[in-house]
Amino acid sequence: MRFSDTMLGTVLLFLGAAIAVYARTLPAVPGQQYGAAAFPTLIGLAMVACALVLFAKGWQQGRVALVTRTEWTRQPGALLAVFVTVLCVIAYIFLARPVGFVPVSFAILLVLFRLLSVSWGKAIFFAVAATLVTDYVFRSLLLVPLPFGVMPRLPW
Amino acid sequence: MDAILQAFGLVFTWQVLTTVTAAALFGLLVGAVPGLTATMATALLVPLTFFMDPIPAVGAMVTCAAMAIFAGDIPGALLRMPGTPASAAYTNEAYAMTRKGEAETALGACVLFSAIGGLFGTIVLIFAAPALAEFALNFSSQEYFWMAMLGLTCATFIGAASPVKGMVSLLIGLLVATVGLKNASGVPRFTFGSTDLMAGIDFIPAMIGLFAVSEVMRTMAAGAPSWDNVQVRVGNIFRDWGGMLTRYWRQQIRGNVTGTAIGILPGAGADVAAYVSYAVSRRFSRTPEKYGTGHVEGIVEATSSNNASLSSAWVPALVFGIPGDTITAIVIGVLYVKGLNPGPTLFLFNPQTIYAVFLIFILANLLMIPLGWMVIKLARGLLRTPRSILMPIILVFCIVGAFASNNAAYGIVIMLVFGLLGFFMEENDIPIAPCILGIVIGPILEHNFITTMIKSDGSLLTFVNRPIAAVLAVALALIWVSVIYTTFRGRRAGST
Amino acid sequence: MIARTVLALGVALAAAAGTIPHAAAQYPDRPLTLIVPWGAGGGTDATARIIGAGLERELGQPVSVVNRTGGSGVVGHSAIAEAEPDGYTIGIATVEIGMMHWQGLTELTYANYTPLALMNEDAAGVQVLADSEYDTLESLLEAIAGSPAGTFRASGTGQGGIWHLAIAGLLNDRGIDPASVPWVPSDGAASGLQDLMAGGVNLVPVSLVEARGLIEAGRVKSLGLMGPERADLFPDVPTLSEAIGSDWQIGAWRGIVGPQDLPEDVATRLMDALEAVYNSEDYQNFMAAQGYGVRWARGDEFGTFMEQADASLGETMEAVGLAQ
Repeated sequence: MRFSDTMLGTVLLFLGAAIAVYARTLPAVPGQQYGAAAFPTLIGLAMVACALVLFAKGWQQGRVALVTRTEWTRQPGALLAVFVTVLCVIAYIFLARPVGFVPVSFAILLVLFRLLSVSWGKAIFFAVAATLVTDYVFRSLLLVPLPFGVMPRLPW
Repeated sequence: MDAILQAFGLVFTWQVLTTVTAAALFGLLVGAVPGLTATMATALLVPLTFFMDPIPAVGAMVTCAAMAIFAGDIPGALLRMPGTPASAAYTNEAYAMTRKGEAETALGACVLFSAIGGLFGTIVLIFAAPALAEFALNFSSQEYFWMAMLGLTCATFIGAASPVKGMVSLLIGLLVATVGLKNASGVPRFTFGSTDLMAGIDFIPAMIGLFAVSEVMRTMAAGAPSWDNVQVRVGNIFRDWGGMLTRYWRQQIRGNVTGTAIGILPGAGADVAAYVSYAVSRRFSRTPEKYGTGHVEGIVEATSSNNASLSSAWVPALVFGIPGDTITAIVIGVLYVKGLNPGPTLFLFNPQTIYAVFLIFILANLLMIPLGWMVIKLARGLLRTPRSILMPIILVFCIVGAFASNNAAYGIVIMLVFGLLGFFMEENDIPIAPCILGIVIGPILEHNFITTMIKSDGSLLTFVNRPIAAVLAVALALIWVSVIYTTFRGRRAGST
Repeated sequence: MIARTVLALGVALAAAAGTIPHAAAQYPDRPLTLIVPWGAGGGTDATARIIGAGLERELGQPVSVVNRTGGSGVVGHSAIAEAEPDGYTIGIATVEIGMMHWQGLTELTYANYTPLALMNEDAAGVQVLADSEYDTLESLLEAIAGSPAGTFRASGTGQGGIWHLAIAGLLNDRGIDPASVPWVPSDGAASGLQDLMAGGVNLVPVSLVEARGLIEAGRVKSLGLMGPERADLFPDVPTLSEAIGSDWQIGAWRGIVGPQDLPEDVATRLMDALEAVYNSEDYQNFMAAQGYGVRWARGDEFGTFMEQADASLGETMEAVGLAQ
């Protein structure tokens, strides 16, 4: 997905304005001229300025579609792959705590391997191996508290 | 002299050497895992040092930190996921080299120049620590403000196809840095009532998202095809290194000096040093157009710089007990526990101990060369693995790394959001590097601006009425004049 | 290795199917997590790690120390309060738990926790440059009272942090307007001290242990200590009551807490273990070597301590205008 300069400028204009308006609501430090609002206001205004530059560029370019589809999106399965990848991360965020790292990681790996047309045998092997190695390295060597969920602690 | 001999006796024992080697391997592992930083590697060692003698305890931490900062380059070059924030500045460059089949050269440069940078910083530490520490203590918020401005100026040198898009990227970074409670006024900003957002947006998961997750998405979209280029085997590594040393000796020295200078100032750190050096390198290069396309020059300078700054961060730490970065903060604690109280007395009353610590610094940086070389050889196996197997595993690594940064699912949320943002930015030719620079430097800039204003009751004159601050301000002005001049001349030359 | 992997998988599947019961007879039968609301490299992190190592020995289970940083401690303190009250997640609470809610940053108070043990307390000190013209706290306070507001500036923690409160409370106690010494927020004690050396501020009211490096280097001196008695670290520094006859006291403390409603037996087991850790030579030596003060209070006693600290902090914050 590619935004034209005009489209990008529009997004920035609204974002910058919203930031500057939001910054007005931040409380001032008593007795000080510059407080929490100073920087966000400056950033918002700078964004608006960038938006104006982008509008000027867009105007020079003449008529271009506001949003164009990039070349890769026309490849079969490309959008699906990105969508599934994002979905996998979201699934991890919600499921890891109740279900546990090991099953969720295994499932994500299996789905992604299959998406990339890795054969079933290889997919299962690598999903199991990668999950167990990651669990061992992070939990035991690096002491990262990966969620257990319904899983008991593996023997390490 | 006697003290130096005693120091050799303290260091070259089996116990110390094995401890240091083990710590080096641990540092390599932690540094190479995205999401885990050199600081965490050092913190994880703290409980172990309780049971060690002073020299192996300090040796383990020093070696571990140095190795972790270097190891951050490895996944950066191979997988486009910087292992530690200090590698983020040249991750794109090193990855571009890998795509061209030059992974071995890129990583070889990282090993060699990391080691040299670390040694340079150590030498400065050994010979000039007390005087430099005095100098660093003259820096108040005014000076830090100008330093941060100089750092931001670097964004203009990193180079973007379109300057306005570079600016947009920088602004996104600065905006991200304002989220949360960590600002001079102690006011929650952009938190919308969320406790997680109060903590702000952690830099590490954001970085994993911007670099690694966006790359995973792109590769997945393309169906994870094999690499375009076969990896070139570097025959004689020493000839390769010799070539780089003769070709880039200027860059290397400049990187060492910049890194050392930044490291000495408490509060800045290896990540800032790497960015500044990469930008300086491009600014003064004869071939700036090659930057970003897989050109080793900038890597040489930046990787020298981050390791040099790591060593020189010890200057204020050993002389005054003021930590230069979070790593030295941890080690200062251990020094006290071991009865090696930092301060001028450490240099006077315990010379053999301080020399032993210096020897370990040297040893740690020398050890980097064989261990690093070993890792590079292992890395080749990783590059031969089909990408259809590699990419899903990398995604799981990203998830775990983002989680580990603060041990919360919130890190994964940040990673995902920034993965999508990075994906979108690259689709629209908005460079990522200025955004990360903004996240790193934004808080320093804002904090020092606001505190200076509190001190001066809002008088802007205070920014230039201290000598060092005035010098820095003039330097900044000169740089801007030169930038505007070259752009102007470049345009005229282009139009005729 | 393969056999082990297969075994592991078998166990995993069996457990997933619910054939292996979760709860075992004796607490603790699996590793514990100790949450630290502050980052690696700070005093709280170091203290938590030594306590963690001690608990590991006492309880016979691994204790992983987990940093949950950000939001001036709000994030980590919330994580402790929200954890499952099963004794497998505990945390180290710091003085900020009695301050954050007064500032309107969170709803959490000491009442959201099961108090287990107070492990440490460091009183605030009043540090100035070693070559400063003020040799006693009395002369410094006189100078502050006699100068226009803003002549003296202080730093050492964020806006509304414990050391900010310490100096504001001291001034308030002496009948001086707290606003006459503006607070310059800093990332922590180290950057506050750096700014003192650089001439950016005039006094840094942090704990003695934080200023230790510079005091030992002869660059900074401490004029008084806001604690009940002199510190072992620098026994020459007088307490406030000795120096100016004030009974104003404030300090940063750290203690181990669990989420609310921890089972009675689990809490007792943890308190016993913590008491053994506190009395161990390792802990005492570590704290003495680092220069930290130690203070012990168990269970309900610690709870009362937190309640009193909360009330007095709230009162002071109200008085100096830091409360919402």
